[in-house]
Amino acid sequence: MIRTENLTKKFNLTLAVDNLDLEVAEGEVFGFLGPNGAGKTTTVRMLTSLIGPTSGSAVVNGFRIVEQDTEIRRTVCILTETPGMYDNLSALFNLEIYASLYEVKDPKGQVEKYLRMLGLWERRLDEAGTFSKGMKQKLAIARALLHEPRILFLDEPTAALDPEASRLVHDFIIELKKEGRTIFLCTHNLDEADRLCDRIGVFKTRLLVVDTPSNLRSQLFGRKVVFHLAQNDEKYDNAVRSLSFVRDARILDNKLLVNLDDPEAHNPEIIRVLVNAGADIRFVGELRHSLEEVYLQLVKNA
Amino acid sequence: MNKIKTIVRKEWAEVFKKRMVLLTVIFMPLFLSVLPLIILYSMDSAGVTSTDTELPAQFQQFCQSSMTSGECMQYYIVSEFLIMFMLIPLFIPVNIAAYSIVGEKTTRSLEPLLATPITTHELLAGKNLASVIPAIIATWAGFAIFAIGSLIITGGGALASALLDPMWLIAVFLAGPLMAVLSVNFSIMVSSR
Repeated sequence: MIRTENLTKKFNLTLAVDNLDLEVAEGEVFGFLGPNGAGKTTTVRMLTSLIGPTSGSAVVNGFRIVEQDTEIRRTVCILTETPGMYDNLSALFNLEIYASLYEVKDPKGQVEKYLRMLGLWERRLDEAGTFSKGMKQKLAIARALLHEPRILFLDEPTAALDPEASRLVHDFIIELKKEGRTIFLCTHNLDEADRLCDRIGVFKTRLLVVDTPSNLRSQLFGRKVVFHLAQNDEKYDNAVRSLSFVRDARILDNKLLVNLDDPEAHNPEIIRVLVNAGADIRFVGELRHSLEEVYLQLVKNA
Repeated sequence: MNKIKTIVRKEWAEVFKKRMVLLTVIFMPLFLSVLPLIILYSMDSAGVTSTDTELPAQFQQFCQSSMTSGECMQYYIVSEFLIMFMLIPLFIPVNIAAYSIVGEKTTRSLEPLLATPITTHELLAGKNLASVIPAIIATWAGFAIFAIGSLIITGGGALASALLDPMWLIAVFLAGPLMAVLSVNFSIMVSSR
């Protein structure tokens, strides 16, 4: 659905995007993470044909950037942090303009469909400038979907929103994913990326890593299992450490932290060893690293 | 063509909600067409047209031989105002075009607009027409008011035919729109930097 090869963008002497090679499959929600100034928005602007690359190429929905810009714009949409509505025009007129520019076949029907879907129909004649930030973002979502794009580029769509409005955008992303649309999500909100994205790419001028959030966690930190014990004794972690598949084990208070590659396969053996060593196990759980820890580690290493 | 029409509709709906733009489009041409009429009328009421005093040769060369010295003076003064009809097509579109690009930038609406399948030519054509058409209509309407008014005040004599000289008509109806297009493009170039 999206494929880039050595995609590079320079602004004078500043390298914004360096040889980006990336593939995003149809129906995938791809999270594009990176610090401010990493080149995420520049990448989105290239993929939506707003700016041309310095070198390299990209194919979006079967169309090549630069050569088939108009075709790309017909089948994708971009939703940014700032809705960019015409504040002194009504919500209805705002959408009618875009329905016409996207050559929507049934403009009135599509405008009504999305205004009703996003709960803005009753206020369709009000000027967009009178709307709250959340309502403006809803209107921007409606505008982005009028031409039923197959690929959505969402650039920090919830950055300026309160939790309630953010939730609405998240729910909408989930709905769009169910419809099989491809979503390219640039975000700083790591919790958002963790919950919504099938895969994430960490980017800082160049692509540092691409994988599923859970794989990234296990690659960077392994998987940690916590055994809550009734007693604290050194012999327990010594016994566990002697097992060949255990990467690391340490006891902290009454908790034994064990680093494993495959907890599902190895937990029963560890439990057996602990019980044989005389430990009373109260509870077993997995210690999950947050995506924030993963992200910070990756960016720090870069 | 539909996309160009959409841009024009959008520009007008937006721009004419701005009082300053509205004032420029309506008030300026109206003022510049009524002012020479007031001068014509005041001079006519004061009986200047019937004066037949000797005028310097430099004045006489501006006027037709059939004009009285009074009419010649009237023509000289009022024709200075006619130049204003060449300036209206310069001022009005600059105001609209500058707002149209700067406004898009400040409201951050340019990016979603550029992300649509509209071509650069269509976008520029839409913005050009949205600025040029009101300027031309305002200029022509102002000139029509002036032409009708001067015909009524002067009674359609030699003075009226001199004021509605074909050169002035070409200037207003042909050069005016061309100047408007020029000024809009210059304004778009500057404001889009």
